[in-house]
Amino acid sequence: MKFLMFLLSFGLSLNASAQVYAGEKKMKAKQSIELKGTVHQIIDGESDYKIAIGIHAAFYSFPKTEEKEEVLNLLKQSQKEGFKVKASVDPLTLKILTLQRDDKK
Amino acid sequence: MIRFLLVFLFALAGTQVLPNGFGNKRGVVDVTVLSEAKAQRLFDTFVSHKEIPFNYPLDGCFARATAMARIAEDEKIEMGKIFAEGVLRTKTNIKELPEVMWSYHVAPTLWVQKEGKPVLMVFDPSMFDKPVTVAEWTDAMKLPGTPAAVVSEVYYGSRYQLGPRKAEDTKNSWQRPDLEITEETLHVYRNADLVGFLRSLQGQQLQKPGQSQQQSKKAGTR
Repeated sequence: MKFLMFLLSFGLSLNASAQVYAGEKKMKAKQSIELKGTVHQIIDGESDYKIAIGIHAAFYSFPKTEEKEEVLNLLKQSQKEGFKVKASVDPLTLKILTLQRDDKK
Repeated sequence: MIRFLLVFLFALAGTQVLPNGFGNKRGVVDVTVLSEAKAQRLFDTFVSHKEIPFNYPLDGCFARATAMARIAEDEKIEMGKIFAEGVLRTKTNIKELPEVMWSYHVAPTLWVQKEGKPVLMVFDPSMFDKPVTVAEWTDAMKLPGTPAAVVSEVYYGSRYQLGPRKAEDTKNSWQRPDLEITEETLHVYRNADLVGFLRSLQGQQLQKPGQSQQQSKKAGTR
């Protein structure tokens, strides 16, 4: 039983790094763009997090969903540890459609 | 020997240095000195390049700055880059988008002879219609609002730097991946039709219930 629990937690921890957080559901642009980079700034707003990623100057918005604590944790870890995140964004509204840790080196 | 010295002095007179905020062996970047007339002509040349989306101020400054520096380089003009970081808020020249907010901003920079002295000027057609001083450039990014705008630091780099120094190492030549990202970014933002999108939003906001968009356009609204 203990061995099975160990395998389960190991599997879950592997899965956590690949978790994709869903943000804005509606897209206004014809095409989304993918941003990759370390999180440099986070502005904690009332209904969203405004995030500066990599070489991109804009603050991109991620809504405060039910997973807001996990999202904030991911953002802060990226800022602190320097790993990259990957965000699919709408270039017209600056809203983030999906957000995840970028595991590619 | 005299001829060599003259060439050397002439070359020296044509450039001035900037402190390199990214760090390199010399600690400085050589940047060309231009006359005011040549500087304005260079600025106008940048504006004439329609492949650079100056009307998409939301993001992509790194790509615009790189594109401009390469245009200048083709004319044997060595530009530097100026970076400002913080929470930057500025007006735009797009009626439907009065202001934008950035975590950093970058533009190419040159020395310009003004009344016999070289003055560092910033070339930023996304914000101005002529080269401006560093103070004018940074002051324009302190528009009041929430969160409060703050320029936390300003520094310089060579034309080869793409993004802010927290995002990259010192570069002494053009890097192929950077040029590829630049081209891709210019392409995406060129095709984004931001103004068209903003006008369509305005049209939706002005539309009365039960009225079609065409009817509200006829009524003189956008």
